Amino acid sequence: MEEINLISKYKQNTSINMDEMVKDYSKYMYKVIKNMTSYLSNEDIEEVILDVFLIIWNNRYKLKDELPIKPYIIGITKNIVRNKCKNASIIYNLEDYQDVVEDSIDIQSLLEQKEKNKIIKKALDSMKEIDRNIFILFYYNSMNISQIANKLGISKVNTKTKLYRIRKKLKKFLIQGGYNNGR
Amino acid sequence: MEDKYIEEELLEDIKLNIAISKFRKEYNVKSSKNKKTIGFEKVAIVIIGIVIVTGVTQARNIVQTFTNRKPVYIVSSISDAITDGYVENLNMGYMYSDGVGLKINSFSMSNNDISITFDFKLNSKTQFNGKNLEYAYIIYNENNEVYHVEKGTNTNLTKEFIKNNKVELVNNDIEPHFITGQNMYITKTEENVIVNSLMSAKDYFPKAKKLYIKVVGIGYKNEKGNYKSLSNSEWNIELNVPEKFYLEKVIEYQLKEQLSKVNIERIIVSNTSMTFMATIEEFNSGIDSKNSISVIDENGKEYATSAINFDGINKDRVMCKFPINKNMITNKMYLKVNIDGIEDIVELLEK
Repeated sequence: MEEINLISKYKQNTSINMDEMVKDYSKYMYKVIKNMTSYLSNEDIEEVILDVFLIIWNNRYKLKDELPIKPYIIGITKNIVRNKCKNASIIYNLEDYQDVVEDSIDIQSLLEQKEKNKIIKKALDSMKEIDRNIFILFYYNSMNISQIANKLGISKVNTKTKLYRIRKKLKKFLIQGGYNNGR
Repeated sequence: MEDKYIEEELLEDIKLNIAISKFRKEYNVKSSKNKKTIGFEKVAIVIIGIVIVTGVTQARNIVQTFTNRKPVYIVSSISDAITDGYVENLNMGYMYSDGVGLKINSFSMSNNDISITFDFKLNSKTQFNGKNLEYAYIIYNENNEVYHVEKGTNTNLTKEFIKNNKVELVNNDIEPHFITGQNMYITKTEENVIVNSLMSAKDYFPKAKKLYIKVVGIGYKNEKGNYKSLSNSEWNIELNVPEKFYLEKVIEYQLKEQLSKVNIERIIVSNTSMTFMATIEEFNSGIDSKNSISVIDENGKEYATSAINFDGINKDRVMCKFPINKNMITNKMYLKVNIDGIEDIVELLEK
């Protein structure tokens, strides 16, 4: 009998345990996407999987604990695959997935979000590894200055200064990229 | 690729994207401008008309009353406000100009939020294809107090409004009470865009018996990012605000015990949200909008902020919104503050 995982399994207070979710579902999603169309490259498939997880993250506050995760993931995947294939005139087959949960995701917003993220990603790529680590520990892992300093073995003042410079640099990139106020 | 698929790489990419999104959100909020949401009540509306900017005036006077229809909202406190009868839809028809129809499906107003659901009808020939619609609007009351201006693209809405109305700017600001907002697309198709705009006040919005909404400059950006205008017409809508909105009484809270680093200025709960204003002394790790400040009810349900903003010379003044309305509060409520890794939970007492 198939195990039904609920969103509650991955919820951690107001956050989502992405590590666990990726571990549980990324391979399964790969198979599903392959089944939907054989015309997407591995790179495209990875991008779809990434998009699905980003959408789940973006919607984490709206997800009810009792929501079964698998149909939700497939619903989002289906929408993204459909969108991607339509734009590239690729043949796809979603017949096997007609009964899964349809999610009214805003793909356009996601694409715009990713476009803006690209600018910051480019800026981060040009930074030292330690700066990238500080950025991820602060913004993804929600660690405070002391925790980051301890983890990386540097002083609190140094961590704080680095974080300040990272933010400043990223804001500059955003403005140069035409996104004032991050919009 | 199936076997070679490296979860770690994917996970790193996800983490990086999430971190970037959080940074952008923080930058967005700290840069002070954003968008909004809200809730409502029985309303009579007078549509003043549509003035075509090209010089031709097509003024129409329509008076309508409104029926109950279940609106679609996303923010939980607003949804509850609807259920509680505080929010109500308007039953208004589209006003067309240049092939573009506009109506307002609903609006609501509380001490600290204004919500308006715009409904645009577009011609399929516009090639809009469900992109993000751009439009400028200004919302103000009978005293010309401006609640919010969305400047849009290629419009002089603010400049013209200041020029044409005797507007008293506060600290050079036309919308001194506005803190943040949020646009939520309810429908976005080729021919129909319904978007709910929630505007939140940093302290309170001035009371009003009439709200005026001026919408201009409807268009969108195509794939190349070039702005394409759909209409240069001007829609002017007047809303009679019911007593229930402008006589709304809020609940004010104080802390049972003082917090070491947090000086509370004001905590109030309206029919649509909770607003928290405070100054925070010497914090090192930054204020995380989702983890640093939250409100907990007596059942242990924790509410993260729905909006957060900073003010003051050292950015030490913080203003937060929580998705909690008057009907969601329990006998006991608590404020949880986590600054620099030190967590405090203090009971809130009604003043």
